[in-house]
Amino acid sequence: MKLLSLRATPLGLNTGIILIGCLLLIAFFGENLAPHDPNKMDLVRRLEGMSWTYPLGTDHLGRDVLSRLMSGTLLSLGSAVMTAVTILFIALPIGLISAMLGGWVNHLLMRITDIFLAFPMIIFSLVIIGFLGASLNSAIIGVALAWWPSLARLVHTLTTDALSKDFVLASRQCGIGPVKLVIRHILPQILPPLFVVMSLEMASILLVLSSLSFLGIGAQPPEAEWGAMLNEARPFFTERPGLLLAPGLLISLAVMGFNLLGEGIRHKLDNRSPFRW
Amino acid sequence: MSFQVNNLSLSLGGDKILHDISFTLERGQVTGLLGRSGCGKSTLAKAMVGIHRVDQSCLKIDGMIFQPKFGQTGHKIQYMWQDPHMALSPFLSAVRCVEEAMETQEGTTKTLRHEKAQDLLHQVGLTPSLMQKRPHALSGGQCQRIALARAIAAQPEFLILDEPFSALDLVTQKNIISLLGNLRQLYDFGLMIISHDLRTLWRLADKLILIDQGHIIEDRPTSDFLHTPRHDLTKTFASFALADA
Amino acid sequence: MVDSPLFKLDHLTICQQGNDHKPIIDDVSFSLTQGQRLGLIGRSGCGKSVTSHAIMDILRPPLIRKQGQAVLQGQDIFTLPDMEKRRIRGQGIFCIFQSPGSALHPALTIQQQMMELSTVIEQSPTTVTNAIEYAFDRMQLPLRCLTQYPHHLSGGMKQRVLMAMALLLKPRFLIADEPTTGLDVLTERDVIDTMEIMLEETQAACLFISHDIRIVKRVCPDLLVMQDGKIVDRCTRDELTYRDRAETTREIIDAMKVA
Repeated sequence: MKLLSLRATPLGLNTGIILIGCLLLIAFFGENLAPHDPNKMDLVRRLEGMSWTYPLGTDHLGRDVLSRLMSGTLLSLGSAVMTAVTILFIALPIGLISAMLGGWVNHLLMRITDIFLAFPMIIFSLVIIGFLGASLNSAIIGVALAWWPSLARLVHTLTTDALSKDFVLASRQCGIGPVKLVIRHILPQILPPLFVVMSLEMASILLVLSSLSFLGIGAQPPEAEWGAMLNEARPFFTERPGLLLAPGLLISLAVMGFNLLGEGIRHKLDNRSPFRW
Repeated sequence: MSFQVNNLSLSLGGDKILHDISFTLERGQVTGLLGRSGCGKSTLAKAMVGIHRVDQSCLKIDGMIFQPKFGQTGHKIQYMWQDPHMALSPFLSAVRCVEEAMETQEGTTKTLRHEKAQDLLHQVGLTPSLMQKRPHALSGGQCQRIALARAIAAQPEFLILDEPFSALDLVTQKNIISLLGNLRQLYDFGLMIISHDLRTLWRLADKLILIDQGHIIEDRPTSDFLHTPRHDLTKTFASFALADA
Repeated sequence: MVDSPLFKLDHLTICQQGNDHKPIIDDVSFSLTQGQRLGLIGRSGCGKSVTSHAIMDILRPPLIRKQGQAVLQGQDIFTLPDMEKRRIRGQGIFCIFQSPGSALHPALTIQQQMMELSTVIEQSPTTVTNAIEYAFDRMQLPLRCLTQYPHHLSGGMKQRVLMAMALLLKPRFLIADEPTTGLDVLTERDVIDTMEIMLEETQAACLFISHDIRIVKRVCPDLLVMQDGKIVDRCTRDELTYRDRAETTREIIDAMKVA
């Protein structure tokens, strides 16, 4: 119970902001700050433990784990952000159009969404990736295509709710067209809750992409992606568990950061402070 | 100019809400629509502006069939929502809100609209500093004034006010009533006021229509309505009005 | 006055957090004796509802109580421990709020919600059932309401269900915060009538908050007029016609004549 309430306090939000902020810094400057070339192999010093030269040790090809983690941040976070953007790009228009037009368009679009929703998400993305060939790009496309329906439904619900507001009806009564209506009255209403949901979803997207890389159908070696690093480290778990723990912990931290951030923003926007009974 | 409602019936979600409603609004008149809460007053008004779809031949303006398609009828008839805070966008300042109502009118430019909006807001009694504020920073009475300015900016022939006073305190009610009188002299629109409270309505209205459970049970000039009530419900409402007078 | 007051509010001051200069409620004091009915009128936004929330000690975070005491039968409510406070709410002070819809649990039948009170008044279920039936009878509520959910009831009925609860709990002090807002005039009359029955039966003191002087005048012999968080006028209802009242009072009387 204590832990649950901690997630919503400003402390939680601040932790989230700090975590994500650090990750972003590393994402943008990691490559320059990294002590070694992430792809430079040193087969003599493979699977080494922590040392001053290699703070987190080396992997099975003698590459510096710390440098690989740092330079992989951009790829890992970037692909998650790309996926989120792609999802929004599909879900937002579909949700908006179906809610705005109503009638048969609404039914058609929402039934299509339902059909997509009927497939188990991970299987569906596996099919798409199998079709496109294993690479990070197809992983992004696959996840986005499997993910958009739930978000389109959310956008649809939010838009329907926004449309029923008195002030939106009042603008329509004065003859305001649908495009202006969306830009001026609908988007300001639906975007804040949508961003909160997206920041929470980011965590899951990051996990899914990492899992796909772990399965070997996401980012391909020698790319330094966190999930791919986990995958590469798998055979050496007994020898050097730290090799697995480092990217695993980083993924957990990033997921936690996004969750805390989303939860914090949600709490901030939700100004219905409860009564003190 | 007159607005006729002929044999209007409406069902929502399986329940028949309005039964064969017929009456006429005259442009020079103030009509009061009276009834207990839940009797179908607001539904009727929303049907008149096209928020609820009704049968085509029900609504006529000067004998011509008027098929309200919501969003295209603002210049003929404007409906004003009950809750002044909910009816104004929380994202737009007062002056932007009024400007918006004129956007679809032909031959207006942005600057022209801005000036006109400022004039209108001035007429309803808002100071220039208040015009830039957004609804959450304004009181219920101020929001009601902005909503009125917006409705008038659309240049309607008829204006329907849905319970314009119920969310306001008595002093504000009094101010809005006198404002309505001024605006009617300036802009000459037909007015229909929906209310459950005859105490406020009887001084304003030329004609009173009483609705009960979706039927019109009385439709007569105000003085007849008050002094020779025909129904029990009319009597009750009238006694309320006369008790305070 | 010979009898000591039942409830006394002393120098209540409420500010917005971090803004001490402009109090929302500025040094408000009043007292009620047993069975007294006091009306609190003022224009919207003058701080009437904040006062009632403050008395119940349920202010929302941005608002904080800077000073003040609320003494009910010799106990200062604000300094009581939470357990005691909870006991006082209900049987000590009962509050009827503006929106009865949100005061009733939407997923429980009226009967279930009424029966919950039996744990508070510590009586056997049969006694409570009888008491409920009696209360419903007095509040002119049909017994079939008991098996219904709040959304089946009209606004006036919900308000009367709350009154029936008060009848069961027999509070010493009732706060009615705009109980008739949003109700049509006929329902308003019914609600006020039943409230008067309830007050007579429980002999509770009542603070009646409203912007509508017409109702307040009917219910309460004594009136307080509030403006910008201050009590600007105190009078009895017979004195209302006098012209030497405070400006706010005059304004409200004027409005009544026109509106």
